[in-house]
Amino acid sequence: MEIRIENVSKTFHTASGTVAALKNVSLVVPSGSVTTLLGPSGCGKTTLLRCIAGLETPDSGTIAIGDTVVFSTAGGKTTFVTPDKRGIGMVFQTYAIWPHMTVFENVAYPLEAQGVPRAEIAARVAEALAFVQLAGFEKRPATALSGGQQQRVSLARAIVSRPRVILFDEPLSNLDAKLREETRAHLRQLLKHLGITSVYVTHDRYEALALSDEIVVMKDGEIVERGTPEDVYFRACRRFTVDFIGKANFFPGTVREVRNGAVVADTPIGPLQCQPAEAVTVGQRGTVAVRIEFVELSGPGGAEAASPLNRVHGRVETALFLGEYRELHVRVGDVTILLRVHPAQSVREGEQVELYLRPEGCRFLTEASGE
Amino acid sequence: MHRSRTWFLTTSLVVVVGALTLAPALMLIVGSFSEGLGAFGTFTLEKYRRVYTDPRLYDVVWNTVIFTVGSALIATAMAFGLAYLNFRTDVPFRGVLHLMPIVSMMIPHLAFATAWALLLNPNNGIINVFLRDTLGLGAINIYTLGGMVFVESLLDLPVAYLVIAAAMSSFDTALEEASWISGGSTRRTMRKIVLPMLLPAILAAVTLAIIRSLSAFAVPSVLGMPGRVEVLTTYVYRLVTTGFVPDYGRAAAVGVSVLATAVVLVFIYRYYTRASERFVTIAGRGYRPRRVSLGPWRWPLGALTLLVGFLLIVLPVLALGYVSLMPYVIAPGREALSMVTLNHWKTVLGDPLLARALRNSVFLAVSGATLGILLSTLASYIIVRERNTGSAILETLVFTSFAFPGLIIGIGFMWAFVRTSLYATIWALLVGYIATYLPLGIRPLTSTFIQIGKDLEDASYISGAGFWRTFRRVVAPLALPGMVSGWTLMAVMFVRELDLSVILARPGTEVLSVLMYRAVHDALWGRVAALGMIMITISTTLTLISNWLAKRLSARWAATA
Repeated sequence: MEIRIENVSKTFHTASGTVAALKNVSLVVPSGSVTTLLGPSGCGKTTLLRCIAGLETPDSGTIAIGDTVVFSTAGGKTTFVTPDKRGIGMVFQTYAIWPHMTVFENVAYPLEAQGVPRAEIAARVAEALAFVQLAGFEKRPATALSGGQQQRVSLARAIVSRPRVILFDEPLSNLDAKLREETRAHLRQLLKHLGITSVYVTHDRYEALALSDEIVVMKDGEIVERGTPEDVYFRACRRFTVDFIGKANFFPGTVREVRNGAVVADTPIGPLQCQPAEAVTVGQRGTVAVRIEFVELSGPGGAEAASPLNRVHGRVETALFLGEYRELHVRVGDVTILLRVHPAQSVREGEQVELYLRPEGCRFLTEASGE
Repeated sequence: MHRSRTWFLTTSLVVVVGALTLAPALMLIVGSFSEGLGAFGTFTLEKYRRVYTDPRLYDVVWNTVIFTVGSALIATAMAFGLAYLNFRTDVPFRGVLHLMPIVSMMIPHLAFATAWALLLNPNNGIINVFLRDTLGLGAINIYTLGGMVFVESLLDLPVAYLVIAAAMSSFDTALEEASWISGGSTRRTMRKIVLPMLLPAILAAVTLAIIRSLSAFAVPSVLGMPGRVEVLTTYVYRLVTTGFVPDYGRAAAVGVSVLATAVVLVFIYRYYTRASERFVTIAGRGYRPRRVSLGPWRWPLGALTLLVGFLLIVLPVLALGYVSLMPYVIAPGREALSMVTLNHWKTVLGDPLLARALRNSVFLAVSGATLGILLSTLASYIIVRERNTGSAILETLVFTSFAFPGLIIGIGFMWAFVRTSLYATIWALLVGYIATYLPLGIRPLTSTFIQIGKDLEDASYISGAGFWRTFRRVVAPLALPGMVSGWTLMAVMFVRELDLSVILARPGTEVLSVLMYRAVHDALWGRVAALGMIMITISTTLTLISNWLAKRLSARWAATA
């Protein structure tokens, strides 16, 4: 079931003033896809999710689930379908497992509210619990569950009524790091298997990259950009996206020449060959973004120098040994370049090194540089 | 949640709570400008002119200031000391301090004041007899302003303690530790860090204690009337009970000032409570505050905390129990032991008036608390969950009524009821009780609703449940422990209720406290003591049952998260 969001705005009035949580947001979530709303706290992602759920009322705009308009202010008349009539499932950040009920009662609740016959309820609860690998947990009091189990009960409750849409509000953020990684893989399988239109809110880029068909990056109540995980990772057009999803080096740049779709830009560390995010002209100013995994050590111990392009010399300022890799801060002129090398490769602080910034990983963004 | 769902509920609650709290206050004002109860007559300023030109009134006001401020300051100082000992030191018997506020609630103020009269009256007070005959010392006269301040400060102590203890228990000791690390001595830390941060809570406690003392009637009437020390409540009471025609108009004219003062004070109290909450720091897990070692002072200070518990609970109950078994007030000893009699109990229990009063009191406690808690549950829910004008009005109404002195608002109720069929019925008392004590039900439930995460309700709406199903299946069951403790609080207050009852009770609708009040003024001490013990027993039983119930309920779904 497709979710259509058009020009949705929402302002919160608090004691300390008004906050525009959503500014004219438009978005289409394709039927059966997993779409993630990704952004830092306060970017409006949770507000947007709660507007889809009907737990918040937007100030204006239209929200439709399938053919049903669940919210609209079109023509000066407010349409609002209450959350209980929207036919959705939701997994809450706190799980929101009712502590005074058993696992069975928790999962059966949506079916009871729909008036499903008793005999059918038992079977469907069992099916939902089996799906989240909690078969046989029916009689447990909800308070006797671990965090991970509560999270799965919450998921079972969200899917038991076979909703048209499932909403996830940071469902993994209350799990500890190791369990979160395991659950991530499990959740991906479940989402693929279910094939229900899902909207997933998170501030964790790994979760977003791993689970989504499409990532919607948000900032200050607006959509920054959207695309497949690979798109937003490798081919982002906005500095904010590059910075938020992963680690990167940024340099101010001016286009020197445009050739076969590639660009050579002048930067404080010298000319860099890069991929332009959009069509550019000679002389245009912008920002060159280089993800740290596209920066390599060359010269002694590194790849053999083929062409002088994208090669710079510097001195290792700091070398941090972090187990899985070493993080190097290399001083090149006035700027510091960040990169990672294999932990087995020994690099001393103070050492002179040559760096190779791989052209396919250098993006020329037309946004002005500036911290 | 969408506005339209609770619009109807919010509006109805504003109307009901508004009627309950504003009607008596407005009728008090209207009454003060009218010619008399029953016939409002033409608008007149006569009552104001007569009462505010009464030269006695200035003594009364002066007494009231000393009585309220004195007892509030003493109570708060004791409360701060006890709270500090309890939360920050290794003083022994800390359990006593935890139980003190709850246990002291079971003793009706009238019984408490009477017990102290029995212990310290200048003629045959039990302690005085001991001081005079055994130690050869002079007697202490409790029938003085000083005596009243002392007894009232003991009654204000649990209230002040709860306010300060709440602030102190959420006080992050790292702030104290940081001062020590920075070279601050214990005294400097206390003066520069602890006191300034607790100051709003201390001022809130003082203000609350003043409000309570201002509306106090039991202590001034039991201990003040024999020595002719009048405060505003007893002055007002005398206006409506003496003379050929009770003058409700003059009483209302004074009452308006008392009410206005109380309302101003309650907003000051709110200001300090909010200031205090700004300093609240939630301590992390496994947090164990370092306790100051008292060294050689440990046991003497422990003995001091026991003494407070003794003066507050044990001594008054012992005095009442003892006097109820004596033919007349006599110092304990071998002679007294041989005179033990159940006569007072027989008289009291055989009195048909008592049977009726007991029925009335139990009826009011049970039905009043039940209706009161239902209203409180819905109102607290709206106050916590809805952020709109209706809920703000509701919150302010409830909060304002927290200031209302029972005796004064009772006079307002007289005007409100006098020309209705409710007048002189048990229903008048029921309505009055619920209106006056509504804030006591709202408080525990508000904190309950704040603790119940909103997600639990949202999850129900998402699951396809509407408002009432959600309320019935999710909200109400989770609020049940809070409802039970709010119910207990209200029921216990209704059993001991005196201030409204002395105004509103009429022949046939007497309650236990009114019977006891009459016995006090007829100096029937044995009977007073027996009645006091009966009231304490009812309160204790109610509390034990509902505590057991609340514990069982919350154990069933104690959230492990």
